[in-house]
Amino acid sequence: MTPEPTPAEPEEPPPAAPGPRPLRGGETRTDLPAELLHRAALGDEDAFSRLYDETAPQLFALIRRVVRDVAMSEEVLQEVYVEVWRQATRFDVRRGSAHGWLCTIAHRRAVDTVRSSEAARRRDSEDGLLTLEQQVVDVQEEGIMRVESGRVRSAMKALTTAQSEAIRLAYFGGYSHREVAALLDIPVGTAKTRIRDGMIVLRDRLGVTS
Amino acid sequence: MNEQKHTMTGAWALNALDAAEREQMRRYLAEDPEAAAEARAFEETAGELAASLPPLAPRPDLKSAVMARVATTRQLSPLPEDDEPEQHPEEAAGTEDAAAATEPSPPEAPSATEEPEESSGASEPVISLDRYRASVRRSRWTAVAAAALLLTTIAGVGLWNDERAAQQELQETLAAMESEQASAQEEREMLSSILAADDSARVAVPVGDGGSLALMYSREQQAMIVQPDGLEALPAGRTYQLWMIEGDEITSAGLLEDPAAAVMHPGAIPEDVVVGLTIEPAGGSDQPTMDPIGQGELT
Repeated sequence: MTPEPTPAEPEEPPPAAPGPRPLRGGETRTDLPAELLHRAALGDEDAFSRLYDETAPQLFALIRRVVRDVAMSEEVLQEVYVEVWRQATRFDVRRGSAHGWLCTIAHRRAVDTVRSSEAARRRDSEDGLLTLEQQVVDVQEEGIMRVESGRVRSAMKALTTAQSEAIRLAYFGGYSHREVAALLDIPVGTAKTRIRDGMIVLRDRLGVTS
Repeated sequence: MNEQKHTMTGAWALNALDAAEREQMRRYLAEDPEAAAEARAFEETAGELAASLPPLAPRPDLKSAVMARVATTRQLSPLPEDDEPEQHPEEAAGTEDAAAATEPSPPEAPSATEEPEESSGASEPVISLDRYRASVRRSRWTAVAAAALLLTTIAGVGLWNDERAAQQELQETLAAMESEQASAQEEREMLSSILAADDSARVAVPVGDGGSLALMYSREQQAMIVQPDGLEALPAGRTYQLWMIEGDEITSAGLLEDPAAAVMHPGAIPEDVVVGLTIEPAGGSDQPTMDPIGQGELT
């Protein structure tokens, strides 16, 4: 029952990067995107417009990272926000953060796009795997292995190399676990396990509660 | 828990499953709240990964395109039950690309599948029951509701016979419960059907020797559920019995053979009838052999 002894919290601001600040559940109860999403669910287009302003750069970064092609990413971004509008009525703050919800929509749509265009490309390709291997090299050059936020970076350090490779390829690379297995030359079951084990470590390190 | 499928929670949250596996997993998560909770936490974790990327502002004119489409796009019903994304006519409206047509968007799936672990029914229409439910273990009521259904089905009592749809829903729910795979969503629907009557009411009846009865009833639905709480166990050869008392006229309302289990009493509930509890010889009596150790009036 002690609210907050000192209004000015001296120990608070970490040297952290000014960059993206994820909305962590429980840290602040004034979750602006959640509030805006709620209002958008009531048909409030202004709230939705603000939600877009607040969140689009983060989602676009994610989509670009997965999709890579700019024009395609822009297309995906639009689809994502139309989906967000449609599904705002289904968002339930008790089930997770607005940020997590938005990222799930964006990531899934990005991955679906990559997979369908990938499938088309692979039909023309003699050896799908060769294409894949070529791509993973591109992805590495692009800096997929770089993670900016200090918090996430240190959480990532808790992973084994094998785990972080698998997670990065799956999440930022947009590869399926089969593709991850093929790329890393490991059995599919091993890829699944690595991904899950790694996610458990990250979840605990990042203090995510469900 | 299905180990094989449970290991897929990570890949699920990272969208690293192919379409068939994703669908499989969606069903699995619907049945396994533990795995569903894990999958959800992983989705949050993935969101943290996304947040570690440096923000990238999209071209400004994309926003006006989005807003223009939003202005002509209808939002989904908030109720996931109505939702059949694959066939939903609205699905095609806002989304032209192939991926959208074959794949329901993410939070819909979780919202349908993870329902079972949500025990709070705040979004349900039956708000009046929340307080009541909170006071009683939900699972007991479920058992009672199942019993109620059996009574109506087997004995042909006319409960809810004006609502065939509701009854069908109940039957489906019972079948699901018998396989011990019932989702909380279905349980809620069943409870709602039974308890959602406009005139549903609750009376608490203290029992002399300790414990109490919770009576939940609806005259409109001609149904009463009796949930005992903390009643003493009786020696062999004795049983609790419920009575409907209208002045001098006393009729049995059934035995409470398991002092921890709720029972259902279908049938008309006269105005101002009193429900009484006595201890009788095993098998019950035609008329009470003692003064009630607890009684309450159904106003």
